[in-house]
Order: sequence, then C-alpha cells, then structure tokens
Amino acid sequence: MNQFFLKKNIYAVVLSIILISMMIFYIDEKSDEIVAILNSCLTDSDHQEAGMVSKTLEQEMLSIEYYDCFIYAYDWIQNFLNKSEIRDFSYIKEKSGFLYYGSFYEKEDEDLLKFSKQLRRLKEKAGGDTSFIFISPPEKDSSALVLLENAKIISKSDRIQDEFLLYMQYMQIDALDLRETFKNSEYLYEELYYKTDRHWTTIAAFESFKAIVDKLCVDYGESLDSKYLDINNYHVNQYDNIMKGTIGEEIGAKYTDLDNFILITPKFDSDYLWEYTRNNGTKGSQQGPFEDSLLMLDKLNIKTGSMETPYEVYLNRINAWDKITNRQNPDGLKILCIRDAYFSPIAAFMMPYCSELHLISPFDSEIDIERYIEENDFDYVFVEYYPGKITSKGFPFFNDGKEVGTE
Amino acid sequence: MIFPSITFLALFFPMILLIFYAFSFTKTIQKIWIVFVSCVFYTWGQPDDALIFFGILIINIFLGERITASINTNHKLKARGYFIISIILNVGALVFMRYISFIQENLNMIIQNQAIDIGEQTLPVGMLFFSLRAISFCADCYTKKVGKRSLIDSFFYLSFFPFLLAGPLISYQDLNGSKSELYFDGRRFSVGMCRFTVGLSKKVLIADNLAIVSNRIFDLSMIGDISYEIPVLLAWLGLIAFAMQIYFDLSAYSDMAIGIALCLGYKCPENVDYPYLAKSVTEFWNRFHISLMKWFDQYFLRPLDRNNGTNKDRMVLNIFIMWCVIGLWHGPNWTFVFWGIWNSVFILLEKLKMIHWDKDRSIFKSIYVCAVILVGWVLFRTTDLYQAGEYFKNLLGLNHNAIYNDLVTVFLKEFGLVLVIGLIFLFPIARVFNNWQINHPESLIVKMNTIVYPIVLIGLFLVCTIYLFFTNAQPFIYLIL
Repeated sequence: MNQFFLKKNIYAVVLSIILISMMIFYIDEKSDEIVAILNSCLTDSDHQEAGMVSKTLEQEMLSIEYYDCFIYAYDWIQNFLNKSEIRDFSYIKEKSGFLYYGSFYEKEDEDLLKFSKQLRRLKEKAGGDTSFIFISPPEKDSSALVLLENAKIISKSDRIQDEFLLYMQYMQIDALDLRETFKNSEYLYEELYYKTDRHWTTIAAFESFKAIVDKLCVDYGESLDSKYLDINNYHVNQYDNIMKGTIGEEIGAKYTDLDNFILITPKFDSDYLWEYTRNNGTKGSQQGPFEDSLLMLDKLNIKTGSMETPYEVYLNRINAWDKITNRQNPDGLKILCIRDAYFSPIAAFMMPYCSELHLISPFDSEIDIERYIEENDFDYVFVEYYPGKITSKGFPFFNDGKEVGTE
Repeated sequence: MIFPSITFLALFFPMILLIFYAFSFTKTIQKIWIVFVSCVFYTWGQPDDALIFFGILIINIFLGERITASINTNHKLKARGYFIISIILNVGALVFMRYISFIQENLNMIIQNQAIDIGEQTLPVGMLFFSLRAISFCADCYTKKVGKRSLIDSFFYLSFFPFLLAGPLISYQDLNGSKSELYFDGRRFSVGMCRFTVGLSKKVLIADNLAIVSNRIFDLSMIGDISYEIPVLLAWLGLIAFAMQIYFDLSAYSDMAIGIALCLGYKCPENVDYPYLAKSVTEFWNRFHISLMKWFDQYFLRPLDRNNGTNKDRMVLNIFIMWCVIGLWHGPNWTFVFWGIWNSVFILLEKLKMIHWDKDRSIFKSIYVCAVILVGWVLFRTTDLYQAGEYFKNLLGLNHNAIYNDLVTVFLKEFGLVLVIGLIFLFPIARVFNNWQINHPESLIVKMNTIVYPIVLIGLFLVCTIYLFFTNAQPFIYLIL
C-alpha cells in the first residue's frame, strides 16, 4: 500500500513546487492587474472595472515573459496530435507552416450584384475620358492546398471572386484577374505569400504591377517605358526572418517561423512628394527619392509583440487618403485607386509612370468618393479589392439603391 | 472563476493551500480563510452577480439558524414556517431569475398575444446548484440532521468554493464529518493533487476538444431559425462527441472539486462512476450525476412518496413528476422536459419490470442503455424540439441527407486521437490497474510505476497549462445550463 501511495506523494511534492513557482512568477508578472482588481472591488460601487480587468487577466496572456516557450510547446503538442486547427478553428496551420484564418461557417453572402451596380455608376460618374478598371488580387488561401480543402472550413474567396468578376463583365467594367498572373508566374506560392500574414509579398506585388502596366499598354494603348518593369533596374534586398505577420502575431509570433521580407527599391533616380492622411486623421508628408518619400524604413526594425509588420514599409500599408506626386514626370498618368492594403507596394512601383497617384481606402475614411472623382480629372480610376474586402464597407458610393444609368 | 484557468492554477490554488496550512493549528481560522477565498473565487470575473448571490446566501444562513433555534426550543410550527420560507425563497429566486422568460413565452403562446411582458432576468452563476444545497441545508436543519453549529460553519458549508459553482451536492454532515483529524493529512493531500490533475487533463485535453466537435456539428444542423441537413455520419459523430463530452466535463469538474477538497483535508463522495457501463437506465443515472440524483431522491421523491413505494400508481406519478422537474432544473426549455420524460419512461418500465433482460445478455443491455441515453442527449443538446426532430432525421438519414461528407474526415483527422482516448477512458482502466497494483505490490510494473506515474502526471499538468496559456477553457456544461 505504501508503494501505491509513494508515487502520489512524489507527484504531490513536485506539483507543489511547480505551483508555488508559478505563483511567484505570476504575482511578479501580473501584480499591477491584481492590485487594480482589488482596488476596484474596494472603491467602485458597480465593480465594472474589476470584472473587466479580471476577465482580461484570464484571457490575455500575451504579455507573460516566457510566452514564446509555451508557443513552442503548444506547437509540438499540436503536431503530436496531428492537428491543424488552432483555437476552435479560428486559425489553421498547414504542414508547410503557412497560417490561415479559419472560417468554419460560411458568412452571409454579400450582395455582390448591388456592389457591381454601384461600381458601374461610379464608372459613369468618372466619365468617358476616364478609364475604369477593377483589379482583383487572389486571397492568400484561394490558391493554397489547405488541409480542409473541400470542407466548408475553407474560405469561399474563389467563389466570391468568380462571381464578382462575372458581374464586372455584365456591367461592362474592365477587370484584371490577378489569379491568372500568378498562375503564369515563375514564382512559387511560397514566394508570393507570407506564412504569417494574409498579405502578399513584395515579389507578388511587383508581378501584379507588371500585369497592370501590361494591361494599360495592351488594352488602353499606353506607351509606357518597359525599363521600369525590369527587376534588374531595382535593388532587391532580402531581410531574413524579420517579418512576423498579423496572423502570426495574433497566435504568437513564435508559433511559426518568421518570414523573410524582400525590399524592392529602384536603381534609377526619382523625386516624389507623398502627402497622406492617416486613419486617425493625422496629416503628413514625405518627399525626395523613392526610399525617402515612399518608404518607412523604420518598420524593418519592429520588435515582437507589436501588431505592426514590415509590410508597412511601403506607404504605411494603409492610410485613409494618400496623394503621391512625381515631380520628375508632370505629364504622366493621373490615377485614382480606391483600394485595400494590397495596393500599397503596387502604388510605389507605379509612380514612374504617374504624375499623380491618389489612393483612398473606404475602410478607413469617409471621403466622398463621388465628389472626389467629379472634382479631379483622372486618366484612370482603379478599384482594387481582394475578395475578403468585397463588402458593403468597400462600396460607400452610390448607396441609394438607384439603378444603373441614372447618373 | 473556474478551476481550469491560469489565474486559478498560478495564483489562487497555491495561495489557498499555503495560507490554509499556515493556520493548520486552528480550524476556525482555516474555515474563515476558506469562506473569504470562496467569496473572492465567486466574485472574481462576475462581480455583478455577487451581491445577489451573497444576499441569498446570508438569508439562507439566517433561516437555517432560525430553524435550528426553533427546533431546539420546541417551536415546531415556527421551524416549519421558516423552512417553508426558505423553500419559497430558493425556489422563487430560481423561478424568477431562470424561468420567468420561459413562463412568459408559453403563457403568451397560450393566450395568443404578447400581453405578458415581465422582462428577462439572468441567473447568477452557480445559483442552480446553490439553491439545491440551500434547500437541503434548511431541510437538514428542520429534520435535526444538522445540529448545533457556529455561523462560520454555516458560511463554510454553503460557500465552500470547490463545490460552489457546479457541485457535487454534498450534505452539511457529509462535508463536516469528512474532515481529517490530522493537521496535515499527507495522504489525502497527495491523492487530492493527483485527482485534481486527472480532472484538469480530462477537462482541457478531452472534454474541451470534444466540445469543439459537438458544438460545431450541432450548430451546423441549425443556424438561427434555419435547419440544415447534415450527413448521417456527421450527425452520429456529433452525438457521440457530445455524449462523451458531457461525461468527461462532469467527471472532470467532479475530479477537480473532490481533488481540491482532498487537498484541504475533506474527503467527499464520488459524483460519477463510469455510467456508460450501466446495464439499465436506472443504473446509468445512479452512476452519472450521483449527488444530484441522490439529492432529488432524498429531498424531492421521499417527501412526495409517503407510502414507501407500496402504492404503485403514486410511485409512477412521483417518479414522472421528479424527472419533469429534473428536466426543467437543467434548463427552461421544453427539450429538457421531454428529456426528463424520456428518461422517466424507461426508469419506470424498469421499475415495473416491464423491461427485463436475461443475465447473460449484457451486450444487449449495454446497447439498450446507450440507445436510450443517446436519444436523450439529442433532446438535451438541441435548442428546441424542432431542431431535435431535424437532428433525429439527420441521424436516420430521413432528411434526404448524404451518408458522408468531407467534414467527417476533417473532424476525424483533427480530433480522432482525442475521440479514441475518450472512448478508452469511458472504461474503468485506471481503477482496474490500481486494484491490480494493490494486489501485486512487489511486481516490477508497480515499482516502475512509482517513477512513471509522477512523470506522466507532471507532463499532463504542463500540457494543460500550455493549452490554458494559449486557449481559454470551454465553460463547464453544468455552469452554462
């Protein structure tokens, strides 16, 4: 009998030591929050703050010092259990280490026909002298061989993209399906998307930039200098293991390997003025050559624990409004792009051909796009959304339900 | 706060034990400390509920005191009055906070308009079990089972944090009588630590993973008001996952609660005893939620049945009523009422010997019990009778639904190992192995197990901690009913 209880005694002693160590460590790490809860319990009559802080304390463990060790251990256990879903299907990790947002249930369908009609009316508003193009990049998971490929868990981005492009055809809006560009690209999927982020890589953006320019030349008769399309006219610098994307950061930066980040900068001279309004309303500007005006090089030194990523190097990833002026090419194209974050690196690469490039993110601003188009005389209006952004927020213009042809 | 949380494991649990044993020379201070800790344990995370909860707690203690005082001074009528008030208070509070919307909804349906609008109330966490414990406390005071005691004793019993939120339902005399006489009972402490870890592992590693499977599949069959057909195999997978989830969830909570109590020197009766091995529905319920069934038997059925079961008509009616009440206690929904009725039908048939099996047909008995219980779990898990009907159709392929789709593979691939482990631990492997060890103390396996056992448990504890760092534990089923 003593032998039987010996093992339990040994375990009890070891667990007691572990628990006491955890307590010391926890108090050391979380003492401020604990004091806040106790203070709130003693002083606030409704105890709202106490409830909030204690719930946060339960749920928010990201600031614990050795969190990354736990991430490694969790990863090991997940692999041992042969699991790919993380946190009740919130995320999915592919065998190759690629992280995806999981969406178990299909979300309610967006009214894609309505959006396409709104786009058509925007095209009519822009007038006959302005060319109007919808640019459609593929979403990260659309071309991935995700484990849950045929199940509902995979996002339906391909179907949305197909359907919306069909409506574009129906509404006689020219569209550029960048899935085709990627299919024909010499680059592998792993080079076109980050493992830890939902955005595409700088390489993918550069390929897309070439496809856009190609379209302008072939379909719209523009004679644009091909030297800017040659990657040999650019510096391509790879920064190894510095990119921890937003999905990686949400799960834990160390859950997957860090990505490499490629910075593409021109070898040729340039002189730009970038004016912007941030999402919080702050205005600012930068000017000079490409690196000084369009890049935020401090984003290459982001530390773990921040939701910022090196993807923000190009034009801060997303702003409410941007206007870039090419001071070397006043006769270049004048373009407006209503866009999401995918377009930022493309915008930077497009600049040699432009005199002015205006960028509006309807997701982050309340700019009256109808009026903006009316007040400016653009050569081109681009609308660029990846499938996940084809939502009502992306179409704040002509939202009155009137039919096409009323402009 | 719940046991499977980092805050409990890394802050509360060690602190409670340290201070509790620092005062091991005085039981009164130990009890005061546990009362204090129980208040913090309850208030942590849900301070809004605390005021109502502690209000009802204090009133019950007061009523208990008055009942005992009246009994001791031979004022039986007064004592009965206080006892009736305590029942009205506890049942009334429960009905008002939990069932008012259900009553309102059904009354409005009967009179065909929305004339009655009393508004919605929310039941404070843990009130479901507390009400039963408070009623039994007052009943035991009334029947003199609970004798002279201090206020601290009453507070200690009613607020004892391991059993505060979701049981097991243990009587005052059982709890107080179970305290070890030693200042520090090393054996109980060790067994308690092991028991707690086993419960934690059952919850975090098995029950919570099974919850993902069952929640997703049941939700797929009904989103909002729309019913969706799901393949037959997926429907069965969801049902089996739920049947295992509810067992492991309850078993895990009981293990953790009993384990903590053991660490504090209190030895409490078991709450779960491998129910899926039962050979009758009656036996299943005597093994599933033992303390709850005992409570209803002792404080509901016995007072109703004054003929000691000799009047069969009365017995049938009483058991039927009891199971309707058990069903309603689980939730204000007709699905629970029908679940109660469903179980009562088979329990009555067994009691009246209308279902009878030969001794050697144990496999048929097991199939019969599993079938009855699984049908019951569909009623228990679905949100309304319509969804239950649709789910039954899905199980039987009567919805023109497919047999299989890719989701079955996805779930089996992602959770196959957990399902297999769960199935294995539905059987009393640990108990058999423990008995074998006791009978073979000199065996090499027993000697090796002295080293292997602590290593495995430490591994399990660390894995659970890692999971809790990364994901929040799913709420206990009996906490969110």
